[in-house]
Amino acid sequence: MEIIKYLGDILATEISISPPAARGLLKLAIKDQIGPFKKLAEIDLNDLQNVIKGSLSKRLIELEVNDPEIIIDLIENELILNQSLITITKI
Amino acid sequence: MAIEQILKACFSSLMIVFLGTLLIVGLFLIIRAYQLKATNFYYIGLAWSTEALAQIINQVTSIPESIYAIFSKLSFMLIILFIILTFYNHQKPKKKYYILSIAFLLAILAWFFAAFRTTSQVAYVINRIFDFIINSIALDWLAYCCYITYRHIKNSTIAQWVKMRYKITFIFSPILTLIYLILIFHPYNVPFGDETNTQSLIFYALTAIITFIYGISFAIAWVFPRKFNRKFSKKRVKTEEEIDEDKIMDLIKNQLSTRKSNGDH
Repeated sequence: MEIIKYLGDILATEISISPPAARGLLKLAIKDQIGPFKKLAEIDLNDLQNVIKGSLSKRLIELEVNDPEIIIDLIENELILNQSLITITKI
Repeated sequence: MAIEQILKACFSSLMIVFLGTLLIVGLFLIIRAYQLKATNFYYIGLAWSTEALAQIINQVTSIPESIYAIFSKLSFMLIILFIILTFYNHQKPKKKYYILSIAFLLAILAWFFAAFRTTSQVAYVINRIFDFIINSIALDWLAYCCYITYRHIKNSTIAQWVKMRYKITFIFSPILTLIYLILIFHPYNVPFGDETNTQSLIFYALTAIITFIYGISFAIAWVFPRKFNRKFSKKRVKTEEEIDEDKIMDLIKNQLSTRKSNGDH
């Protein structure tokens, strides 16, 4: 899912970890919030917004990352700006 | 056969390719929308196939302008719906309905002018101008949205076919609106592409060339990359399955502690 790749790259830059690790963190946050049964391809904008504000925020706090609120706002903003990636890349 | 007739036949072939491509890609998008449960792609698929079918039927049977215009304006509405659901889905329903209501009013007005276009030259020109405005709103808005997204993703690690899809859409969609601009100056009461009227034949040729270029680029943007995407996805399946929570969290913790020990804040 290209949107995860895109948001993962931004998250990686913000908290200074490698992009694969940031993507992994995002996928774990998705698993926490939505559960293991929904496929990544079935996730919509609303799901991702909930993931970012919910489980991703929680995980960033657990990891003691500096200014998690600012990072969460940035990621959510990037998601909204590039929301078309969720569906355009499905086809 | 006169040279004008040969030219018209050539340009007609280009138009047939365009309409065929539009119809095939439109149907393809409807099928994919069904398979992937991607509602917004029903709208764009329906928009292109409706437009193509209406034009084909219009060429073959010469249906009344008022009937043809219904399909044409429906296509406009469907593109607007696609844009809203794809690029502005976070907006409140009230705002979405507001935009759709304006688009609907514009479509009704455009249909009204289309239905009465043959009554006078003024009505004809107003119809052409309105056609240009509504198609420009739909296609240029789509192009703008794709351009904004492309600007954000162009330096990211996102797959090249995705970037190409956005790029092709924002480059070629405005080109299609050129046709509607050209048609404003098409002579009144002359059949489009009339071999005996040089101006009309030139406009026909320009339309055929523009639509042909658009048709090919449109097919490349929406149909061809899927093949590359499939191959790419197969290679990625293994890594997608190998997500281990502890490993990832350990990796992140290690990376964060290394960063902290290096004094990087």
